Amino acid sequence: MSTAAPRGMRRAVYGAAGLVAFIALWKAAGSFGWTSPGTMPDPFLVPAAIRDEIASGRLMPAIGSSLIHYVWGLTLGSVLGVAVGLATATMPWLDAAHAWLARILRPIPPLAWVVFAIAWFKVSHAGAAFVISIGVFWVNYFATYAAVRNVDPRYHELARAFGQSAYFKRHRSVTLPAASPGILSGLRTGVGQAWMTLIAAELLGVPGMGQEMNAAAGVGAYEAVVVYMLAISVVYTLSDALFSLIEGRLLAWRPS
Amino acid sequence: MAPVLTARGLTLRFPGAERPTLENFDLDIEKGGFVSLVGGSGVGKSTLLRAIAGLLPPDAGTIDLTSPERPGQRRRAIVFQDGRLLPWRTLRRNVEYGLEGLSLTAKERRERVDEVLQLTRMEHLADRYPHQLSGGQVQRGGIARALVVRPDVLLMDEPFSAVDALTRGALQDELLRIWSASGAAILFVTHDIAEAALLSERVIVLSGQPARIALDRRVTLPLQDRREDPGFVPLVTDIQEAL
Repeated sequence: MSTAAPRGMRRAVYGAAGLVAFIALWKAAGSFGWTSPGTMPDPFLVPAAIRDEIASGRLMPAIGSSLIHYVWGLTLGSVLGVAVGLATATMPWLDAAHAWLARILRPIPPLAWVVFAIAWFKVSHAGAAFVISIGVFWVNYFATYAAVRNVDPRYHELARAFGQSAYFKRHRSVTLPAASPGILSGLRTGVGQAWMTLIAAELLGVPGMGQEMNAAAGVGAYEAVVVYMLAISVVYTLSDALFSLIEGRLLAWRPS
Repeated sequence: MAPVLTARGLTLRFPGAERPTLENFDLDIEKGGFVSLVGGSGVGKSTLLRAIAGLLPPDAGTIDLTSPERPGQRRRAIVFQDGRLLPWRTLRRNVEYGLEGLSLTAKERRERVDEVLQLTRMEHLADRYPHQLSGGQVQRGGIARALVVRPDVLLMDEPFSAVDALTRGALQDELLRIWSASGAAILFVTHDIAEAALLSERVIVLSGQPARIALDRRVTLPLQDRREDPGFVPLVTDIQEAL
C-alpha cells in the first residue's frame, strides 16, 4: 500500500494545527495585553468584519481598483524588464552603454519614485501603476539578463551551423527558449513583488485596498485591516497559482 | 571521382596561440566518400571540421563546396560530439530545425522529416523530448537533423565518443547503412583508430603543430566483416605508426 496518502494526511493535520496555534497565540496577544490597548484585532471578530466590508460595498471596489493598478503595473514592468534585459544581454554595445546607468538606478527603491509619480500623474491609477512597474521592471530585467547571458554558447553554435546566424533568427530559435526558465522565474517573482509595492503605493491615497487599510486603521478598525490583508493573500495566491499553471505548460519539456 | 569539397592553403590559428593549428593545408573530399580524420588530442581535427562547417573563419586559404546549392538544401551539415538536440523541442522539431529558413512548404518539411526519421529508425520516438531519449538515440537525432538538409558533405565531430561500447558498435553499423542510403560524403573526425579503420574508404592522419598529413590512405577492404579481414590489423598498425 502506498504511504503517500497517510503522509499527505499527516501534513494536512500539521498544517491545520499550525494555523490553530497561530490564531490562539494571536488571541492571547490581545487578551493578555501584549500590545498597546486597542491595536490588536480580535481573530474571532474577523469573519464579522468580512461580512461588514462586503455589505458596506467597500471590499469589492477596493479589490477591483487594486487589480487595475496591479495589472497595468505588472504588465508594463514585465514587458519593459524582459525587453530591456533581452536587448542588453544580446547587444554588447548596449550592455556597455547601460551598465553604469543600471548601477545608479537599481538601488533606488520603487517607493522613492512616489514623489515623481504624484508630480507626474497626480494621485491616480496611472501613478500607482507607475510605481508598481518600477519594482517589477528590475526583477524582470535582472532575471532576463542573467538567463540570457547564461544560455549555453553551444546552442548559438548550432544555430550558426544551421543557417540561423542572423540576430532575430538566432535569438528567437535558441536564446529565448533556452532562457525561458529564468525569464519565467523572474515574471513569477514580479507577480509577488507587484503586490508588495501596490499596497505601499496605495497607502498614499490612491483608491484601492491599501487606501482602505489606511482608512480602517485610522479609525481603529483593525479587524477590517485584517480583512484587506486576507484579500491580498487570496488574490496573490490565485494569481500565483494561475501563473504556475501557465509556467508548467510552457516548460513541459523540462525533465520533472 | 570529382571532389565535392576542396580546401586550399588553409591556415587556422587560435587567438593568442604562438603557432597556427593548421598552416597552408590542402584537402579534397570526393563525392559520396567516407573520409576519417584521425589524430591526437589538440592536433586540430575538430578545428578543421568547424572551419569547413563555416563556424570558424580561416586566417588564410579557401574552403569551397564545388556543387551548386539546390533549393531546399544545405551543402554541408554537422553532427556534434554531444548530439546537441535542443531540450525544448521534441525529436521531430529538432530534426525540423535543420530545415528552418529553407524554402519548403509545411508539407515538404513534414515529408523530409518523416523520411530521415524512417532512415534513422526513429519514427516511434518523434514526439519525445531529448531527456526522454538514450545517449545513442540523441546521437541518431543529431544525424537525422543533419541529413534532413540533404547535404553533399556530412561533417561528424567524434559523434560516438560519448556513448558506451555496445551502443557505439550499433551506431557505427547504422552510420554505414545511412551513408550508403543518403549518398552524402562524410568527413568523420575520431581519435579512435579502430573506428576509422572500420568505417572509412580513406583515412587521413594528422600530426604535429602546425598539423600536417602524416598518412593519407585509401582503404579497399570490404566493409562487410572488415574487422575479420587479414588486411585490417596491418591497416590499424599503419595508422598507429603515423600518429
